[in-house]
Amino acid sequence: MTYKYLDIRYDHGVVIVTLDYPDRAVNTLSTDVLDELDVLLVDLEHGRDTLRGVVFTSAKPGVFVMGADLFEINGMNRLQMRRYLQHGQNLFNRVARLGVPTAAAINGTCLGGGCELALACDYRVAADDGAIAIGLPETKLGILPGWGGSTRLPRIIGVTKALPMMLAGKTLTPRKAQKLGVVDEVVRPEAVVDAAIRLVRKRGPRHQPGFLDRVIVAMPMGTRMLCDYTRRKTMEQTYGHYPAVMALIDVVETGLTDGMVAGFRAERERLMILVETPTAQNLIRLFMLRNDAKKDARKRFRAETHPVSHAAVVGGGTMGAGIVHSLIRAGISVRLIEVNHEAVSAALRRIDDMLTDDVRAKRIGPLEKKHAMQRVSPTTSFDGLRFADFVIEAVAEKMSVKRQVFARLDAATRSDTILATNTSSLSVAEIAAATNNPSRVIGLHFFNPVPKMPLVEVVRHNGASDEAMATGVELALRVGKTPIVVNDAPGFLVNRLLIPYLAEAMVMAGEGVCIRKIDAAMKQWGMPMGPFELLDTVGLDIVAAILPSIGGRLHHPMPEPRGIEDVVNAGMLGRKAGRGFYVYHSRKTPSVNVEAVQMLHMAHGGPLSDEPDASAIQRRLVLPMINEAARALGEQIVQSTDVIDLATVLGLGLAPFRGGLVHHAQDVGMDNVIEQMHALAESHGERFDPSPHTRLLLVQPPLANDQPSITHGRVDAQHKDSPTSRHTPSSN
Amino acid sequence: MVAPKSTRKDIAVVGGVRTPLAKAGTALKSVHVTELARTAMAETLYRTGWPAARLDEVLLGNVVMPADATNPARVAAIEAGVPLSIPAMTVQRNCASGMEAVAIAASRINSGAATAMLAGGAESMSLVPMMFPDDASEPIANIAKARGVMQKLRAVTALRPRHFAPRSGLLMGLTDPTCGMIMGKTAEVLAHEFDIDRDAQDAYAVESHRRACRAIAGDVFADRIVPMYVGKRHEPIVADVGPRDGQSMEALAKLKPIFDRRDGSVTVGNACQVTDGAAMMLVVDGDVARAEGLDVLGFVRSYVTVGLDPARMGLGPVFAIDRMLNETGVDLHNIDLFEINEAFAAQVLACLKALSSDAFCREKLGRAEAIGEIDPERLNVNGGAIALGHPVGATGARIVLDLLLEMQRRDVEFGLATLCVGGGQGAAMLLQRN
Repeated sequence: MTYKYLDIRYDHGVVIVTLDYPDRAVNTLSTDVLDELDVLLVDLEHGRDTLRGVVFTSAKPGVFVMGADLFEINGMNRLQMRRYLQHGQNLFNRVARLGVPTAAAINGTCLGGGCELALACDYRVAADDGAIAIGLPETKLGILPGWGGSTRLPRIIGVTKALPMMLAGKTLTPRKAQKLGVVDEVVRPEAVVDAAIRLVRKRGPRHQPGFLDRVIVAMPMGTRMLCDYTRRKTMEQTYGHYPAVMALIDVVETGLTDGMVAGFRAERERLMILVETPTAQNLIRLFMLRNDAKKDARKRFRAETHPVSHAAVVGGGTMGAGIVHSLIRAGISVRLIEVNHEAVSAALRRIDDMLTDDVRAKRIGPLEKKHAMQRVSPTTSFDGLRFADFVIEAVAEKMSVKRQVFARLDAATRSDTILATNTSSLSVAEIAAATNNPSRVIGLHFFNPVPKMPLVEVVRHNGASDEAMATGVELALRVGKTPIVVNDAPGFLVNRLLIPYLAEAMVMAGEGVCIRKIDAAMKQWGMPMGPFELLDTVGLDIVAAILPSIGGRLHHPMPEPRGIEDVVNAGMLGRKAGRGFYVYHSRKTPSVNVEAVQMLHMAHGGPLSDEPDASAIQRRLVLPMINEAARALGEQIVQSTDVIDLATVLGLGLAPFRGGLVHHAQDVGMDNVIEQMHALAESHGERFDPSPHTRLLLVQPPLANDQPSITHGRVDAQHKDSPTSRHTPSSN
Repeated sequence: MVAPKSTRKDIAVVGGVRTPLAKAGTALKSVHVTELARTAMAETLYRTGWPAARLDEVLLGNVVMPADATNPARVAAIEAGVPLSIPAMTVQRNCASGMEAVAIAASRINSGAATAMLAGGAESMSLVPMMFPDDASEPIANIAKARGVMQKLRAVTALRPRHFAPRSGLLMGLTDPTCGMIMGKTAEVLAHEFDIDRDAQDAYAVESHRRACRAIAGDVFADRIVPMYVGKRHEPIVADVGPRDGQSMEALAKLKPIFDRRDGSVTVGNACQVTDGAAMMLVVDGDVARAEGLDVLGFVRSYVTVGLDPARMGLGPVFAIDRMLNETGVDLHNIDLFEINEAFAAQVLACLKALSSDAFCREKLGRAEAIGEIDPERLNVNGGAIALGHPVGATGARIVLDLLLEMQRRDVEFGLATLCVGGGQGAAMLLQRN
C-alpha cells in the first residue's frame, strides 16, 4: 500500500521507514501518523521471518520527530485521552516486541513522543550535530512521557541518570545523549541511516544501565530509597508547585518495582490526571503563546525585511558581549566597537567564555568555536561599518553617551542600515532623535545574561519604520530569541513591571522586614530568585540608576526606597562586588549583609513593628506588578494580555505554572485583586490604588491573527480538523 | 618628467593594513600564520568597504608553508569571511613572496582578467617546525607498517639516537642549498668585497632603530596596524616588537659575529630580525576605483624580478633597479622615496656602493657609468627590517604598503621598493601616487 506520512524503502532485507509529514517543516506523531504506523506494523509483523531489521528515520532536515501533536491533546476529554495513550503505548510495545532488530536513525531533533519511539527501538544512532536536541521535555509542560518513555528510559540508561533527565525535562545534544546512553552511537550526519542499518544487521547487545544502577534496582528497597530521596530533593526545589515531577517519580518507581506493564498503566493514569491540572494547562498555553509570539511579531509588520549578514555592536560589556555571542553563533559577522584595546580585550574574553560554555555543553565543537570567534572583528573607532546591515548599541545607560554614539553611527553607516539601542530604561525616541533619520532606529532590548534569556523586547518609537521593526523582529528570531513588540515607554514592559516590585521590596526591607524572609516568600510563590537576590545579581548601581530613569518618567505614585544610594556609595554593589544585600562567600551560602539593611532602616526612619507573613509579602509585591501591567495595557505599550503573560515568564522568570502575571490575576479573581489593592492603599499609601485600567486585564483583545486563538489552553474547534494548518506546536 | 613606461591599465592600491611585527618567540609566537593573514585580510576589507564577494582572488605570500595549512591563503581567506566561491593562492618567491602576490594581482588586473584582488603576505617564523633528519622517516614509517610483535620490535630497535637529533627548519630554510651558504655568509661575502667594516654596519643598524622609534613615537604606524588579540586572555598587541629605543654603537659592539665567529662582521645586531607578521592590501582596477570614488593610496607602475649569483644574493636590488630603470625609462633621481629591504646592514650598504660605482655598473650591468647615488634621507625613512623585523613571506608586501603610506604622508610622486631574495634573486616595484 502507499502511505501518506511514511516512506518505505528496502535495503537487502532491512526496511527503512522514513517519516515525512506532507506540507510541514517538521514531523509530529499525530493520530493520523499513528494510524499509519499501525498499518505498517501489521505488515512488518507478517514479514518478521524474512526481515533482517527495521530502521526509523525522518525526511525533515534537522528534525526527527518533534513529539506528539499538542493541539490534539489539548482538545481531548478523559476517554479520548485514555484511548490515545493506550493506542500509542500499544504501537510502541509492538515496535519493541517486533522480533526483528529495530533502530532509530536520529537525523534531527527528537523529542517527547519521537524520543519514546526511539526508546522502543533496540538501537539508537544520532547525527553528530550540536543543533540536534534529544530528550523527554514533558515535565516542562506539566505532564510526563506517557507512551512508555517514563518506563523504558530507566531500564535503558539506569534510574540514576533517567530520573534527573526526565525531571528537568532537559534536552541533550547527540554527544551528551551518547554519554548518558540514550543513543548508542553518534556518527557523521550523512551516515546516520547507514549506521542504523549496520546496527540492526550486527544484532549486538542493547544498551544496559551501569553497574550502580543495576545494584540499586536489584537491592530490596533500593529503588524505593532512591525515589524517596529524589522526592524530598524535588519538593525542596519546587515547593510542590509542579505535580508532574512528583507523579513522574511515582511512575518510574512503579515501572521498576512492579514491572513494565504496571509502569505503562501508571503512565496513562497519572498523565490523564496531569493534563487537567491548571499547571499543565498553563504551561501548555505558555508554550503555544511562545510559538505564536514568533509568528505574531512577524505578522505585525508588512514590510520587507533586510537580510542581515553583517552586524555591528557598539560596546562589549556584559550585554554587548552577550549580543555579539548570539550573533556570531547565528553565523553573522560582527564589527565590535569598543573605546580602547583593553576594553576590546575584555570584551573578547567575555565572548570567548560564552563560547567555551557552548563547547563544554557540547552545543558546538572547538572548530565551530574558532570560526565563531573569527566572525568578530574588533575596532576602536567607528570605521569599517559599511558592511553592517544592522547595528546594536550596548554602551553605558546614559542618554548623553547614547545620543553621541547614534550621531556617530548615523554618519558612519549606510543609509539603509538599521540602528538599534539595547537600552533598558531610556527613551528610544530621544536616542533616535540624535540621528538624521530616526525612522531607521528601534530598540532591541536583550536581557541579562543574553545566552540564557529567551526574550527580546523589540521597541517601536513613534517614528520607527515598519521595515526597521520587521528587521529587528527577524534578527531576534534569527538568534533564537522570542521577540515581543512593545511601544517606547519608560522601562518598556518587563522593567516597567520589575521596578515597582524591586522598589517595594526595598521599602519593605526599610520598614524592617527581613530580606531573607522576603526572598523566601517570593521563591515560595514561584519566582526563580527573591527580589534581593535579583537586585544583587543585576547590580545595585544599575538599579539605583534605573529607578529614577523609569520611575521618574511615570505619572503615578511609585514606591520610594530610601537609602539605596548609601549602599551603592559604600561600594556594596551586589554580587559583582562580593557584597550587596547579601555577603557572598566563596563556598558557604550568602549571608545577609546587615550593614546594607541597616542603611535602608536608617533612611526609612527605623523598623516598624508589624511582621507580615509570607502571603502578605507576596500580595504586597505581586499586586504592584499587576497594577503596572494594567497601566501598560491601558497605555498600549503591549497589544494583549497574552504578551504580558509570556513576557513575565520569559523576561521576569515568573513561575511558569502560574501561567503568567495576568493569568495569575484572573485566577485570583479581578474583584479580589482590586479589593486587596484598596486594602493595601489604605495601610501603605496611594501607590497601591488600583489603576483605572485594571479591568482591562479581564478582556482578551482579539489577536491580529488569522490563526485560531488560544484562550486558557483551549483551542478553537475548527483547528482540530485541520491537520495541515501551519500551526505545528509540539511538546518540545 | 615623462610618465614611466608601465602597465597598460592603472593598478590602484586602495588600502591595506599590517599586523604588528613581533620578533619571533615574543608577542605573536602562539599565533598561527593563517590567523595573522586572516586578521589582516578581514581588516583590509572592513576598512576599504570592498565587499568580499567582489574579489576575484586572494593572493598570499608565504615562505615556510605550515604543515597543517598547506595553502594558507585559502584557509585565511575562508576564515576572513571571503565567499567559498572565490579562489585563493599562496605565492612563494622567498623574501619577495609578498611583493610577488601584489605583482600577480597587478598583472591579472592589467590583463583584464580580474578587477579586484586581496594581496599581501604573512609569516610566522616562531612556528617554523623542528624536524627529524631525513633518514629517520624510513625507520619510523617501518614501525607503522610492521605487523606482529616481533616485526614491531625489530622496527623499533632499528632506530638510532641520531634519528632523533632535531633539525631546525628555520636554519635549513635560511641556508641556500645551491651554494651551501647560510644567508648571513652571503652578507659576509659582500662586506668583504665592498669593504664594509663592522662600524659602518653597526652605524647603519643604529640608524634603522632610531628611525623606526621616531616613527613609532610620531604615531606614523598606528593607523596601519591592525591590533592582534592574542591567546586565551586575548592580550592586545598593538605595536611592533623589535625597534629598540636607544640602540647604541656600544651595545652593538658587544655582539659577536655569528656567521664567522672569528673573522666576520655580521652580527644579530646588524642583521634583520626573525619576525612574525602579516601585511595585506586591496588591489583594484584603477578605472573601477575612480568610478566608485575609492580612496587610492597609489598605483603599481612596474614590477621586475632578476636572477644573480646565489652567493651574492644581497645585490639583488642593484640588478632589479637596473632592469626597472631600463624598462620604464625612469631616472633614479626622479624617485622620491626608496625601500630597500634590510636583510643585512652590510648588504644594503653594498647595494648603495654598487649603484654608485662606475666600475661595478660597467662590469656587471653593462652600463656606461654608475646608476647613481641614493640619498640616505630618502631610503628606509621609517627604519627597516633590522629594527622592524623580516617576516619573510610578508616583508615584500609590508614595504610596498609602508612605502605607499609614506608617499601619501609626504605627498611625493614616486617610490621604489626592492628586496634581495634568498637563492640569488632580486625584485623591485615602482609605485606612483597619481
